[in-house]
Amino acid sequence: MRKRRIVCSVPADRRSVERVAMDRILSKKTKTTIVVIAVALAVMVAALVVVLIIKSGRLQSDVSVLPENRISRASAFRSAFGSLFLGGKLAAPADDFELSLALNSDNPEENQSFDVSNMFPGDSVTRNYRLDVSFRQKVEILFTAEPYPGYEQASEIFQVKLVLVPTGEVIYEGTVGGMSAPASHLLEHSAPGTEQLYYALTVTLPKEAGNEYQETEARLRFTWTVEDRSELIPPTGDSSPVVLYIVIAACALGVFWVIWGILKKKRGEDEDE
Amino acid sequence: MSKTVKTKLNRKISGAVVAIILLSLCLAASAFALTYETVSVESNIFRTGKVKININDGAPIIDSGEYLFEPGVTVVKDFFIENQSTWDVYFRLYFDNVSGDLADILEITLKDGDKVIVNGTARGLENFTGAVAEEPLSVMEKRYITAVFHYPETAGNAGMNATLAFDLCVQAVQTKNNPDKEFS
Repeated sequence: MRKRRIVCSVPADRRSVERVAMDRILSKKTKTTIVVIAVALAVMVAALVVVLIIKSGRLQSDVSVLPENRISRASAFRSAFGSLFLGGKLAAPADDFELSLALNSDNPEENQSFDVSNMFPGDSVTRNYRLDVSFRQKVEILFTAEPYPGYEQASEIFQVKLVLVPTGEVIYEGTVGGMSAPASHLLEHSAPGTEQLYYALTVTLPKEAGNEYQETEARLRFTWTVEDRSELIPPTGDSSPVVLYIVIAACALGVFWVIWGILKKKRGEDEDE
Repeated sequence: MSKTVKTKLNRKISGAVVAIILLSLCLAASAFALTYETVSVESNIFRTGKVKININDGAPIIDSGEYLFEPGVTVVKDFFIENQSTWDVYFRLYFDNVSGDLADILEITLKDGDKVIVNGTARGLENFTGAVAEEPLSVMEKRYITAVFHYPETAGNAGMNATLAFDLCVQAVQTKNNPDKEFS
C-alpha cells in the first residue's frame, strides 16, 4: 500500500505576518538579554568541556617522557623540608602528580569507613585517614562530617574529633550537630609538591546520650575538600590552565558571534523576500 | 495575534527556558570543578545498643488474697529478672506506688541467692536507690531473686484488716564505660 503524505504549508505572506507579530512581542530589550545570557552560557559550557577533558585525561594511564630531569641537593632539601613540616613523606617531583587530592591507597587498613555496632554512651572509635594533596604553595583543607538524609536526629549527638597526627593539631572537636561550618586548616610549602596528610578521626557517643538514642543508627559522610583549585598542580605539569580556558572561551565566543551573524543575515534575506 | 503565533511563541520561550536551565546546571558544575577538589568517606555507620529488662514477664510476685498475714508469718516468693539488653547490666530494685497500712509493718527482704540486696519495709523501700545487686547480669541471663515477706511478732494488732499494694521495679544500666555503677 502506498503511503499518503500530507503536507501542511503556510503561505509565505502569512508566515511574514506571524513573524512580524512575534517580533513585536519580543521587544529589543528581551532579545538583547537573551543574546547576552546565551553568550555567557556558551562560554561556560566551553569551560566545562575543557574541565571534563582535562579530568578524564588525568585518570588515564599513559606513558610520558620527561627529559632532562635533574636532582640537586638544594631541591631535595626543599622537598624534604616541605614534607617534614607536615609530617608527610618526601615530596615527589612536580611533574609526577596524578591526583590533586586523593585518599592514599598504600595501607589497606587505613581510609576505611566506620561500621560500628552496639555502641553505648562513652564509646569511642578511631580510624586513620591518609590523604595525598598536591599543590603549589598554599591551600585550605576543609573537613565536614554530615549526616545522610533521614539520619540527622540520630547523628547529631555523636562527637567527632579530627587530629592531624604528626603535629597533634586538633582540626575539629565537637558534635556533628554543632558543625555549622567546615573545619579548616591551611597547608603551605615553598615549592610545588605532594603532601601526605595523616589524620586520626575519632567518633564518640557521649556519656550524656539518653535512652532516646537506644537502638538507633547514625550514618555520616566525612568529606575533605581542597578549596581554591587554582593552587593545585594539574597532573600534566601544565602550570597555566587558566590561559587555556580563556583561549577556548574566546574561541567559543567567536564561533557564537559568527553563527549569530549568519542567522541574522539569513533572516534579513527572508524578510526581504 | 493568531493562535498559531501564540503556540509558536510559547514553544520558543519554553525551549529557551529549558536551555537556560540546562546550561545553568552546566555552569554550576564547571564552576565547582574549577574551584574544588573533594574526597569523601561514605556510609560511616554507627549503631547504638539497648538496655532492656524483663521482670517476671510482668506478672505480680504476690497476688491479693493469696496469703493472710498475721504476726510471725513469713512468705517467700521467687521472681526472675532477665537481661534482654545487648550488653551486661547492673540492676537495682525498688518499690513504687506503695499503699496500705501493711506498708509500714511487713518486713521485706530481697535476696540474690544468699546475698541480701536490701531489707526494710515497703514504705522504706519506696524509690530507694541503694538496692543494687553486686553481680552484674550478663546478656540474656535470667536470674531468680527471692522476696521474703515477714510479719513481725512484735507488731501486734496494728495491721489487722490492713493491706499492702506496691509495684516492684527494676532499673538497669550498662556496665560498659560505667565503673561506678551510675544509674542516671
